[in-house]
Amino acid sequence: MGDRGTELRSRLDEVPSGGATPRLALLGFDVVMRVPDPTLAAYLTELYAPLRVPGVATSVLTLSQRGSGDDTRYAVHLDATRVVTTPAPSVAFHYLLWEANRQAIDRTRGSVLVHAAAAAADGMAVVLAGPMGAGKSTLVAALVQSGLGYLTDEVVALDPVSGEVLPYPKYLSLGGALAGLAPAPPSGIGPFLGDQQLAAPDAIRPGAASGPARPGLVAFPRYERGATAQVEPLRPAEALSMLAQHAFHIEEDGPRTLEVLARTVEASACFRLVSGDVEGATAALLRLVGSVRTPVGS
Amino acid sequence: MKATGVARSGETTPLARRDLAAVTLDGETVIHTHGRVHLLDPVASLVWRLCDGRASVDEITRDLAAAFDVPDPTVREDVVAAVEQLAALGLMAGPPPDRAGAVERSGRLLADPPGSCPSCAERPWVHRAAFRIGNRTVTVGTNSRRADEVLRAALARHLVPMPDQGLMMPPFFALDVHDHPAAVGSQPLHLLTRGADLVARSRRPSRVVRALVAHLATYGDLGPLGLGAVSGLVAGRDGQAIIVEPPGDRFRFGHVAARAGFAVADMPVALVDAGRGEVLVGAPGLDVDATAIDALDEESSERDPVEPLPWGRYRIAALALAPPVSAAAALLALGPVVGDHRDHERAVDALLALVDSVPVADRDDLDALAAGFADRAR
Repeated sequence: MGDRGTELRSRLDEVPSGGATPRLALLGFDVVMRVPDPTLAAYLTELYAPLRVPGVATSVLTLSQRGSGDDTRYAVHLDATRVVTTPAPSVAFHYLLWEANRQAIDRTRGSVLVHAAAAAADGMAVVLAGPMGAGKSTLVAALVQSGLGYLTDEVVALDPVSGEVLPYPKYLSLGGALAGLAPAPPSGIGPFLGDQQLAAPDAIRPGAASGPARPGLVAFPRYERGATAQVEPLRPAEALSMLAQHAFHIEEDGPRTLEVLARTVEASACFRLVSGDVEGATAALLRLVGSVRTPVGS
Repeated sequence: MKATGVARSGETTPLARRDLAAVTLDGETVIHTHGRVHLLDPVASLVWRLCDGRASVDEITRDLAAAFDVPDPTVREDVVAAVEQLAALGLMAGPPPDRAGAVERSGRLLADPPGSCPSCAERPWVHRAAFRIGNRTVTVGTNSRRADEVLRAALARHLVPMPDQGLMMPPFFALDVHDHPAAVGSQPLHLLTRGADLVARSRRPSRVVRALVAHLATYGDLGPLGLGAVSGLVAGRDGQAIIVEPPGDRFRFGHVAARAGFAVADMPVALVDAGRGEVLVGAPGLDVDATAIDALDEESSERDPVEPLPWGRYRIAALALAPPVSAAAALLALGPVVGDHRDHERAVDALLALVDSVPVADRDDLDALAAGFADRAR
């Protein structure tokens, strides 16, 4: 942190706030979040609990309330840079979480990052890649509920040296069939949450957060209304091309990204998974996990 | 490289691009280029690897026919099709596209992400001009031939040939100027818009053009001028100014400020000279012929109910925030905005200097601020 950063951080600490999270390590983003409500601060701390680290963070994300009455505005700042100003607290809170995730992706350059969810079965990572709405978060929540370890519901970080999936166990964003898994938020912060259904990893299953895990299974889920769960094996290059389409920073470092992703698919069984319900998809994934860990004939 | 037909000549020696990220797994190749991922089947993969710029299409055909033990004519069709497809995907070497570098020559085009400029995109701006501002190019669209001519004259030293891309993109700023003011009754409002946002309006065309020029200047290279672009409105009176946390409605605030004797600058940000404790209103860094702009006004042009703060330098007397008010809160209230294309570090430097040297006041109590100004003026 340079002189400007140090001075700025020290001045921002003087801004009155309702509360703050501890220092959090969101992959390469070293941050503390400050919000206008102490209950909201405690809630955020719980959502990000596995990412807590000791010490003083280099960056500050601030959600502040400005003005009063009809002129009340909520603003989100990254250090002194304004991300958004809005009259709606739920929009501001959404931006706070969104910006935290965006910075985690932007500031993590050592690892290869993929827009994917992941769970771990006895040290083997199950990677679920796909576009928004494919059901990644829901499926990973179901896998965690079934006993797998939680790695991430948003960004798979692959260590380019070890090839392992590094954990990014932030809160899970739930919807659809598993929305009920999200515990009721503390009273008083409803206006900030809006219709978001968030769950700390421990709320899905206590002690769910996993350590690094070696990729062993890569699946590309797709929801199709009314479909019975079906899995279809993918050729390695086919899986690589699909995975690469969800890679972050591939524009800046294409060769290294493709090389690390190639090692990932070569080390994994890769499948396309079409399903119409969470239970069917989860059962299919668990069967795949079983078959990969215990190959036929062994 | 024009793909179709070229590879049909057997003597052509196609060259695959070797600067692309590519991995081959089980005979299939995955290639990444310009944000797209391509999956080549085994035949296309082999052809891509054999296109080394020395081997001809006929030689590649013979090699593959021998390797797979199939007749030449069958393989040739596959090779020709593969080379043409690879070229169409941009995976073969060739001359750069005709327009490549057009924007580079004239600086980075200042643009919003596609789709973020609905009002500009929807209007048929018949007159467009591009200006070099610092190291950027900014396009401006207008419906008025007169305004376009005046703008080109006023910023003649900054005018650049329109980059090809600029013709296709919505202008960064748009001027809606009425060439024929109403003969009787209220004259029409002239408007300056940036994307969907109305940023200045006036019954005098010169005012919106001046506002445009001032807005353009804030995207320039302000560092050498010792200026940082702080996110605030500049309101002034008695030769001094306050920097005001941006209100929800800048036009309504202009009326409120006017009641307390303040005029608000037609600027998107406050250009702060922290070293001198001053704020600059105008178009620093631009070579502007203001006389040409002012000639836009007719004798009959009406004055606005609330006139803007005139161009000039003003001593910064205070920072004015919505409550809660504190020096540290000013850093957030007046901090730069994500994605506004300006130099954020310089803005933060200016702010850090200001919060230690200038009092911070309540934006909602302009009368108290005005009283302080009057006292100092006496």
